[in-house]
This record gives sequence, structure tokens and C-alpha cells, in this order.
Amino acid sequence: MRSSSFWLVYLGRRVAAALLALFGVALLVFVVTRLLGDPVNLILGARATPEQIAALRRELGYDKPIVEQFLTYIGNLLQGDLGVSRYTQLPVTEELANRLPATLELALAGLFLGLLWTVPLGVIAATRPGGWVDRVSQAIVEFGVAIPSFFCGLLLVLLFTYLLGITPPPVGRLDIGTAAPARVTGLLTVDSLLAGDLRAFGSSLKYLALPAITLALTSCPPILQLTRNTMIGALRSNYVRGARSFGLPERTVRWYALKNSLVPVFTMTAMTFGFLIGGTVLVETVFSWPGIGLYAVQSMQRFDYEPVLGVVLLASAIYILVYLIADLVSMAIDPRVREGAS
Amino acid sequence: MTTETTPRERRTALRGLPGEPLLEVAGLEVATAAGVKLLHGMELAVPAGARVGIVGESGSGKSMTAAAVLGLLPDGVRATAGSVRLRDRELSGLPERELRAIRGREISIVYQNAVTSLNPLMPVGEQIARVCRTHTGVSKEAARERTVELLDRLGIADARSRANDYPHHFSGGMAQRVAIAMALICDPALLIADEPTTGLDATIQAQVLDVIDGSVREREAALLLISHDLGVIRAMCDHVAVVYAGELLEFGATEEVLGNPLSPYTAGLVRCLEPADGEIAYIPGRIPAPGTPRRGCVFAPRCEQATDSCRTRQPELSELRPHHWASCHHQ
Repeated sequence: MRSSSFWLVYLGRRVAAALLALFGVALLVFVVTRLLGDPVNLILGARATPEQIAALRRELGYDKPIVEQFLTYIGNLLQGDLGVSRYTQLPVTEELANRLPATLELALAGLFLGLLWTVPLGVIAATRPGGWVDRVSQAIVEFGVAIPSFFCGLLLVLLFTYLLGITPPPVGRLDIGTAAPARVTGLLTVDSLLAGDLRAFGSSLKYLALPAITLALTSCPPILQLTRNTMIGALRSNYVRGARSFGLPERTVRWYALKNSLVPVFTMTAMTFGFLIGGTVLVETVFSWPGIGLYAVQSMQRFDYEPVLGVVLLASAIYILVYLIADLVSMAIDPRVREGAS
Repeated sequence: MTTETTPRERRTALRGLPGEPLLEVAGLEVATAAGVKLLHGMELAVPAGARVGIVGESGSGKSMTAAAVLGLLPDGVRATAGSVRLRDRELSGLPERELRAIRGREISIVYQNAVTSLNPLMPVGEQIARVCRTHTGVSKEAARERTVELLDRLGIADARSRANDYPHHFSGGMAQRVAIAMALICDPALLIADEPTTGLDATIQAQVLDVIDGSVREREAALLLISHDLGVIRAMCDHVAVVYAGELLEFGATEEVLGNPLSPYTAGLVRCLEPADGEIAYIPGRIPAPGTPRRGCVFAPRCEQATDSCRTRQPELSELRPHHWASCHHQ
């Protein structure tokens, strides 16, 4: 094992790179939203008087040079100030803090369910390519990839809510009559358990089930494909042949192969999670899930740019963080990755 | 693994060699699921403590024979007839569990390109110790000690700390020593070396062969060396088997076979691989692809001496001179 100073230096470098990437994202998003058109005209409409326009421009700071606007924006950003939503008049930071847990809970649950079905099926399929497990899982993969997530969500709602009546209607995270548990993590399933409130836990699970299954079905098939394919390659590798020819038990041999397949699978899992954070928009819309995706869509429709910028920055930050974690895990697993980093 | 046809137990034609019989392969046939035969009644004998070389062109069935001996045929390929005996024990048709107890314990193998045949995510010492513990049940510490000791004997400097290194930290020659250590950790009676030095520099080749030579001698283990290099076979082996298209064409003491070949194929190989000055020899034609229908002697289409009877009648493998077998109509 390497010394802790190696890890500190490595982490320091990665964090610096992450901050640079975030700055790039901020710049890009800022420029794009400014290029989309002058929000002042959009807000005030075509019949606004020049005086009104000038007043609003001054108020929003749009009369200043673009560089100065950007610097002000970055300066505020560094203080954790993402601006104020013009529609709700609430600070974006506060709104995001309120809504992020909903998205995180959904994305985590979707990823958890996704890993639960994709990784074991991929491993089993790899031990018998072309066998029935392989064929069935390929069929599910094709279904999940081919069907848009919102449509999959609607199908599930139709089946489980309207035909079978098992799940609640797709609005929100809890039954109306159920009080939300005291907020600790913001994840309702976790908080209700922490509070020992089984009623709220059951209610939150019921609401979480369908959107999470939707994500697990539509976003996670690439993990299955990758697990299956890397595992097939690993099982045909020279080191597996070598391990077998020394009489090692098949269990050990499979574990060798699985461990060697984990690095790409982890990376793909991280990518999927990042995609889920930024990409739950459609599912959140279908299920009226009060997460950051829904917030971004609603704000976009109101030409309310501050929240959009905030959501994009937050999603990027999470993406970068998850990537960093995936890299650290890869380094822990594979000595070659570890050495490549130093 | 199931074998639908019970392999017919049959003794090899290569009998009467000096020494106790250790490995005997007789009438071994191996075929793909589609029924394409890859080995056509392969014969082989390795007496205890002997050093037998297998020589032949690519695709002649050298490695397939080794894989069949270990019961590690590729997916979809299986033994359809014949026998593989280790001492008095029939190996073909043995359940996987019993084969596993033999692999690495009684028969070990070293492959070409050792770096890739080691698990890249595990320190080499741990991998070797694991083989040791799988077969002997000694303690972790004892296995580790034995590993370090063996690595040291095989010429790995600073073995104790190198045991913690990963396979990619080793050069080709050093990795091959690690692989040899893994193969020898349980003192097997037979070491199979499948092109162990192909792809290494000439000087490293000599070192690795030296390590194999010394450690096999020390343990009085038998060696089955697969190579297409007659020089290596000459230097390392007391017996040589010449295989062609999944069949044994000639077998006997190395000097005898290479010096006075009975089969025109062996003679051709010697001319090609050890040419006289200024001569570039080759055997015209190519080895028949698997699945090509066979009639008569399998080498006849490329043989300068082939007659009508060669093309219609398959020659039998027989002891044409004392301890020197060949299948050829011309002797």
C-alpha cells in the first residue's frame, strides 16, 4: 500500500481538476443562457416601455458589461449564492437544498434496483452465453433500451396504479394524510426509518417504487451489457485458464474473473448515476416528483434562468464527485490504475 | 463435465520404454461440438522422470494434447475416444473435482507468455501460496515461506519483497520464473511446458530453460516440453514426439529420431528447422485444416515419397527400431 501522502497529493490534484471543470461548466452555462436571448424582453413582453426595460436591466445587472456580469456571478457562486428565482422569489440555493434529496433518493433507489438486477444477471449470463438466462436478460435489456423512460413510467402507472391498484397515483413522495418525518437526510425512506415511523416509510416506499423501477429498467441495461461482456472476456482470459490449470476451485476462478470485471462496471455505474442525477427530468415530470429535474424544467418554461444555472452546476458537481469516487474505487481494486495515477 | 461415450481404455503402442510409465496417452480423439476432429488417435508416453519433447507445426495438436491431458479443453471441445493415464489412473472421464485435485498437484503446466496467465490483480506470492494451500492445506505462513523460498531458488532476487509485486511488475523472463514457481510449488510428478520461452529474448530463453532444466532435475519430475524449436528439444529432452495434424508420426530417443528419422516428415522438419549451410528448406504444402477428410497417410499429400498405398492405406504406428516408433509405409 502507498503512503497517505500519495493519496493526499492525488486527491488534491483531482479536486483542483474538479474545480477547474466546474468553472468551465459555469462559464459555458452562463454564456449559453445569455446567448439564448435577453430575458428582460421575455419577462416584460413586447409591449414594455423602454423605461421599464431599462429599469429591469439595471435591477438585474444586465446593463453592466458581460465580463463584469460573469465575475459577479462567479463571485456570488463562491459564496454559495446561486441567485434568486424570479418566479418563486426564493434563493436558488435554498430551493436546491430542498429538492436535491428527492432526486438523490430517486436516483439512488433506481441505481440500487438497477444494480440488483443487472450485475447478477450479467454474471450468470456470462457463464453461459446463449443460455436461457442470457436470452431472457437480453430481451429485458432490449426492452429497457428501446422504450423511452417517460413511456415506461406511464406503462407502469397504467399497470400498477390503474389496473392493479397496488401503487398510489403518480403525484409526489408521500400520501397526503401522512406527515413527513423529521428531516435528517432528506431521503424520506431513510428519515422515516430513523424516526421509527413505519407508516411514513411504507408510504414513501410505495411512491418511490414505480419511478425507481422505471429508472432501473431504462437507465441500467448498459451495466448489464458491460458486466456480461467483460465477464465473458475475463472467463476466456489466460489468467482464468491459468487458475484452472493449477486446480483452483471454480469459485475462486469465477471470483478472479469478477474482480477483473469490476473496474469497468464501476465506471459504468458512476456514469449511470451521473446520468440519473441530470436525466431524471422526464421521470420526475411523469411522477410529479419534486426533485431538481422538475425544478429545472419548470424554471426553463418560465425563462427563469438562475435555477437552471444552479441545477446544471449542481448536477455537474455531483457528476464530478461520483467520478472521483469511481476512480478511487478503481485504484483500490487495480494496482495498474493506482500506478498510472502517480 | 459429462462424457457421453465412455472412452475405451487402451494401452499406448509406445510400450517398453525404460522407467516407470507416468503419463500414457492412447488413441486420444478430441472433437468440436460440430464433430470436427482435432486429435486423431494421439499417442504419447512419458516415463517417470523422463523429458519428452513434442514438436510439430502450428495446428498440429501439440497444445491440444496438453489441454486434453489436463482435462481443460476449450469450450465446446471434448475428448470423444481414447485414454489418458497417469500412473495407474485413467484421467479421461474423471469428474471435474478429481481432475482439479490432480492439476497443479501432480501435473502442472507453464504457458507461453506468463504475465498474462497470472491474475493481474493479485500479488504473485499470494497466487503461488494459494495454489499451495489449495492442494496441501498447509498454513498461510508456511505456504508463504515455501513460496518465497521457491522464488529465491528459481533466481528471483529479493524474493521476499518481490512476492508482494503484481504480475505486471515482472519482465517476461522473471514472470516466466514466477509461473514456473506456481507450477512447481506442489512438487508435481509431471511439468508440462507449452512453448515456455517463445517470445522471450534469446539470452533470457536460455536462462528460463536452465531454470526449468534444473528444477525438474532437482525434483526428479518428468517434463513434457512443447516447442517448435528443435534446438530447444535437443538440449532439453531425452525423447521426442513428432506430431502432425493431430496424430503422432514418430517417437523415440531424441538423438535417434532427429539423427535417423524414420518418417519423411521428421526428416523434412529437421531440414527446415536445422538447415545445413546455405540451404533454405521447407516442406511444400500445408497442414490439412481440421475436418479435411482423411484417407491413407495423413502426410501423404505433402510427402515426396508418397506412393499409391500411402494415399489409400493408413500406416500403423509401430516400433520399427528398438524404442523408436513411426507410422510410415516406407520403413
